[in-house]
Amino acid sequence: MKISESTSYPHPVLAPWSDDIGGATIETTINFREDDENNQVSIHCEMRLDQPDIVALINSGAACFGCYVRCQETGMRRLQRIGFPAGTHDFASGALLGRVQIRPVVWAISSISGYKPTGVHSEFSAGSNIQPGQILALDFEQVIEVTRPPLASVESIFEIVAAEDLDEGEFEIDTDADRITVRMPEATYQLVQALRQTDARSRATIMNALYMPIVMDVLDQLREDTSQFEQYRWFHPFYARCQLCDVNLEQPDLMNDAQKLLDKPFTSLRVLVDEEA
Amino acid sequence: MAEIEFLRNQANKVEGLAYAGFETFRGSPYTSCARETGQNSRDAAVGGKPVRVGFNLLEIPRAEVPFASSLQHSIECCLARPHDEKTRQHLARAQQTISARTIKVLEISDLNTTGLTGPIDDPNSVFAALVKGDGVTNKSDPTSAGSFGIGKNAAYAVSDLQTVIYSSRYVDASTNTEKFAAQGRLRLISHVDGARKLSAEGYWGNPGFEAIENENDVPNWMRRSGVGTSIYSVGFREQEHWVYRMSLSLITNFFAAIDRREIEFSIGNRQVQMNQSTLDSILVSVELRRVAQEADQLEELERAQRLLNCIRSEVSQQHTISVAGLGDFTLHLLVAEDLPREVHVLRNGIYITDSFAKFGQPMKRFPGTREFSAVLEPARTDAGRKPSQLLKQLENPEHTALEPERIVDPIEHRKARSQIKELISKVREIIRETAKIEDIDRSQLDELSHLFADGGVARESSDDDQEKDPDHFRYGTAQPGRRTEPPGIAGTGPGRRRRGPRQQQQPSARTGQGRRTKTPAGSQAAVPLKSIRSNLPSPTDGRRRVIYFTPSIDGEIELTVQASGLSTDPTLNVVATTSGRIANGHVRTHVKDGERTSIEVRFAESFAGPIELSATTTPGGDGEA
Repeated sequence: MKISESTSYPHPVLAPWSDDIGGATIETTINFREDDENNQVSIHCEMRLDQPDIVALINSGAACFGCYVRCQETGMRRLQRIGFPAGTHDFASGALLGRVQIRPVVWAISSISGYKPTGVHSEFSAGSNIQPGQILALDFEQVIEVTRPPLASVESIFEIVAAEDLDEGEFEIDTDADRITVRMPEATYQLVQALRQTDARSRATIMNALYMPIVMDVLDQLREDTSQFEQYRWFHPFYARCQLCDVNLEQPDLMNDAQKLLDKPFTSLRVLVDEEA
Repeated sequence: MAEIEFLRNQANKVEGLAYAGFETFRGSPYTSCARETGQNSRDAAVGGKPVRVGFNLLEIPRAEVPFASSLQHSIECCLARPHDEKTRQHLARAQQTISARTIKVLEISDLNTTGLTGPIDDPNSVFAALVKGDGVTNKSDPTSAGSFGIGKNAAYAVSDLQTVIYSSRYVDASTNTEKFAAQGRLRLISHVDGARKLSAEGYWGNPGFEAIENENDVPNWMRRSGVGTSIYSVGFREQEHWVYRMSLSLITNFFAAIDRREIEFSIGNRQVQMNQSTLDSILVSVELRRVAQEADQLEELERAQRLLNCIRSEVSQQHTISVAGLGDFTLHLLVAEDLPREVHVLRNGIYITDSFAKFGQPMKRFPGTREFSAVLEPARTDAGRKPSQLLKQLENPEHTALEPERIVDPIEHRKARSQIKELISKVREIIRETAKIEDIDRSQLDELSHLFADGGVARESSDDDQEKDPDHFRYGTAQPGRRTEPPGIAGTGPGRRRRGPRQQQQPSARTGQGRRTKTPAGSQAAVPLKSIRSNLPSPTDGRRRVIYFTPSIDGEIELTVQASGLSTDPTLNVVATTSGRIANGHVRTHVKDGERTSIEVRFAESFAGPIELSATTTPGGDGEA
């Protein structure tokens, strides 16, 4: 299917560049969300349409709103139905890449005989018979750029490692490396991994139970002398964060400064009681 | 003449208001009425079009309710004997309702259904099962959504008169002609009318408890214009927000069937129109959310949103689960953050339950998995028919659980238990495999990287009120596309935009070159055309086309008409024209600068689709811009 702004349809089509149907407007806002990790894109479209006959056709189920989506890189060409006046669609991972052209469209899904919308140009005054699939309204094409290739997530300066030499319940923080490395026994490691991935409650818990003491420990080590850590990659982002949060590394208030650096993680524990309410 | 008749009560049986069939739905009358009647219509689908169900409130003048006086008399007979206070209040309200100048009637009318097929005097017919059957299903299809023949009573739960009229137009199988039938059923309490001892149960129709078959014998408001069924709940109890309470029930139960264009609803004289196009916006509408909150049904509404997303998201995985000796199920599985780890069952696109507790498998806890939502339904193929039948047998009337004890035969019971357990086990296996938590021995704490980004780039501390924005998501707004085609060619361009950064561009002109094929339209100069339009003068003759345009030169031009194609625009050979002459399939005609021109042409072959029109000057022509 080709949709262009120069095409002449044998029936009236509402479009910003056309006077087939006067006194009416169409405007679509398209927002997108890109999940860099999974190379997955969702679009949210909101159409503002004030042509009463076309709106009535959509509301009655005789027409529907959607977008003609074209992606050169993946070869996708699809008329994708979207909820009217607003709706969201999640595309499969990898379905869209690079430049994606999105054209908002309203099309008929039932036959409409004698279609003669309010404000129709006199050259269509005899009325038109519309078949399912025919276009009733168009908006300008819009474009999104899907990251290509997917961006690596911002590299973390923290990592956890399963260590065989530690006893159950023991942790060890190693700051003499490019990343702040937290070593822990295998079983603890598995528990931490599960807590990280389970849900918002467990993520809030791990933030307070593990990350808070790690940051406190690092602040404590930095209090004595920062220069010994300047050679490590983790130091510079950590130092920048401390400056941003107005943390005095020479005289840290361990508990409160760690709260600041981690963006007040204790407040996230609210989820534990809110869900019970 | 149509009349109300009550069954005789020779045994002096005492029948009160608490009829079990109605009591099931008394606690949630609007919710139940919407769901049960919608399900009946869904099961009567015929043809490829979506079933359409309308819930409309009618205000009928008392004079047009043919049984009003008779019903009022019966209610007064009921009130004549001493009753408990609750019954007296109910009957007093009924008396007030029937003696009012206008009577509220809820009309539930469907289209694209079979109607209540007869023969009406056949006790096994759908009509008889619905109107006169108790605990008898009126559905011949064993996979239909309804199970008990109890759901039809939900329409009485919203009637202060406990009176429902059925009116149907159906195709008689023996004669292949449309037939009409109407009959009413009501339930008061056992009473005495003069010397006659009467039961609580009465019927409105022809004498002898017969249905009315002549459409002229019923008032206009009970007549139907097409095949289908209308149910009239007479003396409708109109309470605040009834439209949204019914809408809430319909959308939370039928979201999948609506999304699949199997059914559409119109509620409250089109106040809410629920179909595939409007589904998303209704799900998030403020009114519906407010009503859901008031009715403590916010969880149901949010569940419908999640499950709909689970079914249609392209990120979801679809797994076919085959159960030995039974058939296939489909598991839709969406693994994503902030989902509640849930498995819900649908059947025929209608929500059923998430409870497998009676199988010893609650399906509520999924340790060691990431968050997910899952929808389980019988496969929508022939292999899903038996699974659908089994679920129907297991489903309780409240649509809240699947219960093996509902199968009485011990062998069938054991078999069903074993099959459902196998199903549950396979569902768990798929979820465990798909949503498992990664198992590696070294891992970066990415969740902290937005605070301590390597490279020193750290975001400002976020406001507590802001929505969490995990760092692997990027949000943006689409930008205006590059317009390779000059806009405005096909019109003068006065179409206005309400607001926004994109401005209407001035109409510009066409080059006269085949745009897709890049085939020169000759060595002649292109002639800009404005406000191009075309229509079909005859809807049955695709060869005829009237084209309109405004040229920008005086003189002779050559017009080329192309079919707007997928990748190229093949030229349409013109064989006749009402203006000028034909030259090699093109039209040559004289035009005047700025003068609106219309020409009817005839193509060599039929083409009723969109076209591209271009023009050039002619060799030796006198055209000048």
